[in-house]
Amino acid sequence: MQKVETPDLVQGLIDKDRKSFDTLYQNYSSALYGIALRITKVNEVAEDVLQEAFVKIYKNIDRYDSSRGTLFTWMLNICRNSAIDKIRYGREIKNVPFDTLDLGLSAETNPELELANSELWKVLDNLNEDHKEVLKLSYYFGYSHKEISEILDIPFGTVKSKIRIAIRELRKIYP
Amino acid sequence: MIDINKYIQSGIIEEYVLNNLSEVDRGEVERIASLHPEIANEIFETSESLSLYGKLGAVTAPAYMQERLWEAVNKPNIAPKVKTTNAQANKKIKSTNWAKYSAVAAFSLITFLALFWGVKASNKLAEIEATVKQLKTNNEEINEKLIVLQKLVDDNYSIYRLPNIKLVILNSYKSKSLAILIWDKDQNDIYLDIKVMEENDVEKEKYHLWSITDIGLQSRIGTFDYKSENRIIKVGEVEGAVQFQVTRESDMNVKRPNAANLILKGNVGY
Repeated sequence: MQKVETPDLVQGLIDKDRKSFDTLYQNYSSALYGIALRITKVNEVAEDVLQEAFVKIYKNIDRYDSSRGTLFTWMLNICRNSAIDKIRYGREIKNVPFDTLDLGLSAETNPELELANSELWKVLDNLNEDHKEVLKLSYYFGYSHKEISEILDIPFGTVKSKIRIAIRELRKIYP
Repeated sequence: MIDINKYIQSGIIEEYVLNNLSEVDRGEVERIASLHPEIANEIFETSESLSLYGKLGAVTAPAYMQERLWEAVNKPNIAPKVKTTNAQANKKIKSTNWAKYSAVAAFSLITFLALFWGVKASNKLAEIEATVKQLKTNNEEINEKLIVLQKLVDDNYSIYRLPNIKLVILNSYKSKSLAILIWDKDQNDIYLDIKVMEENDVEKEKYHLWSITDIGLQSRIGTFDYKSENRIIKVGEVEGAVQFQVTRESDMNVKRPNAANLILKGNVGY
């Protein structure tokens, strides 16, 4: 993967430079596709989500503000929102019940996720079970804090504090 | 004076980075961050951490995606905006409308002049007027039909837009009937979208919808009459079932679905 400085990349994208697009793709597409696939479960739908996200990113790159967070987090939020919109309002998938988000099931239905998940879950396994669960639902599956509160039947404030602690714990084990 | 530690501990930074805040709350976090470098730094570090975790779950997209995305981003007029202010949106609509109105007005004027002079020259004004009148009438009729059709679609298919539904195909080779059962899992309501089925004789018989549970318990969800114009019918409520059946019965008090009267059947898939 080519190491790239964010301001140069952003400027290249504003200038519609093909090399910058290729760099963007090589550096970030797999991470974004991983998120889209975890949320939508279906390769073809995840591909559509990735396309929508890339179009939004590319057309709005001049709005990216580095003081609000990293470029990746900005792109990730665009991609997560596109994926969530797709499964909630799109025609491709009517409903994704919580229980189908089980990882074992994902791996069975989509073997491509298996390898990526094994790496990811190895790291997340170092977390306290409760914290792992809320981070998984919030960050990797796109549930809002309110929804997590309903799914896990815990107070809204507890969801927030668990996510905060989970991110802090992760910072220690994966600094 | 803000307690910086308490603010950081509140979890709002994580919500900000995960994009779970309203626009007003986001603005407030940014305002506070601009006043307190510790908070700005916390935003940056949290964002950095989450970037790394995002990359941990990476899955390589198919090779053809790189070219497909390049083509997509270069297509004109497909720019979904991440966020546009209301003022910008209104301005855009306004300017687009003006352009449209101007174009339509110019086109109408040219068409009118051409028609006028053309008709005068050929002395066929009456004939063209009649044609235009006929076209106008046709257009109005089509518009009315479209409105009716749109209402029909909205009325009939809004059920399919419910957020948490389960669909079960009900069919029967014997009766050559077909329906889609729509189970609203949030309200436990059961609807039938009937595609092919005979109308029943309302004086003598009714259709009965039955649920069968995993331990074989058979319960009537409700009864209904079918007229071909009633596409989607709400039949009743159910909490759990592994199979649904529709029978046509002349005995209203029948306790169980009678196999001889079976019209439709479908299993709930998982």
